[in-house]
Amino acid sequence: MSKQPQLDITHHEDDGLHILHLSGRLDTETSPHAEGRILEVIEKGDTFILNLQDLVYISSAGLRLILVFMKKTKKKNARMIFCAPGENILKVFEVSNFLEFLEITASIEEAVLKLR
Amino acid sequence: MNTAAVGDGISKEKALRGLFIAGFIDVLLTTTAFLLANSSVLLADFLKTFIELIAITLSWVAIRRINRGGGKTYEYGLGKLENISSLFVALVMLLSFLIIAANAVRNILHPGHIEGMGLWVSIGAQIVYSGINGSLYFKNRRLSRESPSPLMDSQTRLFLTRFIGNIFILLSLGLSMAFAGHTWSSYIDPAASLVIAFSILSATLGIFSSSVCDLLDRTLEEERQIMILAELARHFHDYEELHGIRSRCSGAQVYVEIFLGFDPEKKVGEVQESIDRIRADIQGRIQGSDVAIVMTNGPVS
Repeated sequence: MSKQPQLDITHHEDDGLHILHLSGRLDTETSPHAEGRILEVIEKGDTFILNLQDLVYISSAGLRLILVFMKKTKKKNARMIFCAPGENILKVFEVSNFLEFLEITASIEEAVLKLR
Repeated sequence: MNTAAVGDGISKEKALRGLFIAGFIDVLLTTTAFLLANSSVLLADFLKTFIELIAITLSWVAIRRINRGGGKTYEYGLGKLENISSLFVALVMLLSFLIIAANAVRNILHPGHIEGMGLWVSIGAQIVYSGINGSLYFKNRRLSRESPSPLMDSQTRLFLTRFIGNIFILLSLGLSMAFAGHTWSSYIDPAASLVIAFSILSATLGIFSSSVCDLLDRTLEEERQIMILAELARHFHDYEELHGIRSRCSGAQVYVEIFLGFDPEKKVGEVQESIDRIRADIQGRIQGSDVAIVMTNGPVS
């Protein structure tokens, strides 16, 4: 029996605003699935929220994906906000210089307000 | 091959030549001691030093090949040659462990007191060689820190093991002779031998693990992967797309390939400047890295 990837991604759209909720681990095992799924959504819109509230772990493979997403959104003049990352995730963003270009909010409500 | 690399290779070669001469004299002394005494510990010591000399010879030959030829033709393979030499050293050390352990078990099952002129020859040799091996260990440790490589790592471990071995054999022989009147003293030799055997096994596992992973072209560990991404994040505005990152280790050398897309409106000179900046920063951050940045406009497999 094959092991299930430990990352759930849910997506919903609200008046052109795409909200993706990531739950679990974003690592070498789960990033191929996440890449396909999220890039597909990025093609569809201009404003995105990545809810990281339930993301418990991010590896270098996950960071690479985030870099790819940010480049894609920048190229199409779109906007992506990352909301509610846990302390561990925030620490990884900090040591990897990602805070220099990521737009992060403490809650999903704050992210929605910024994009409306 | 650059000048620094040539100088580095020559200093490694000189170090190994010194180790070879020391090892050869050690083999002569341990052979004499073994032939003039009935100690199985001295038999094990003789076998161990003999096999170690073979290992040193192989490492010396490998580093000479690296320094004298093949630099241009086998840029990637030279790292593997270092790994293969280290693996051979590990196998030789494993063999030493098995021999010493087998002798120790035999002596525990059939204990007997040790005697003969060879004991005094060995005690003298252990005193001299504990000094030599101790200083060679510190010298190799310094070289290994200045220029890390699996080969120098294995040599450092090897000479630490030999130094500990000298001290243990010295103590073992000294105590066995001092308490020769007691039955229990016949167990001192095999007990000390077992301690040496397990220290050799521990060093062997470390070398084996590191060399096998490198031979299989392992990618960089997480810490250094994040260092690469941190530099790409720092230069976020210098490129337009990230299409992929590949990395692998070959001996002490780290190879990184980064596939980036650039704004087509940018001049070639500007793109080149960006590439040079990113490459220099990653190479500065990851010791022994050789970074190639490839301009591409699509994903890489």
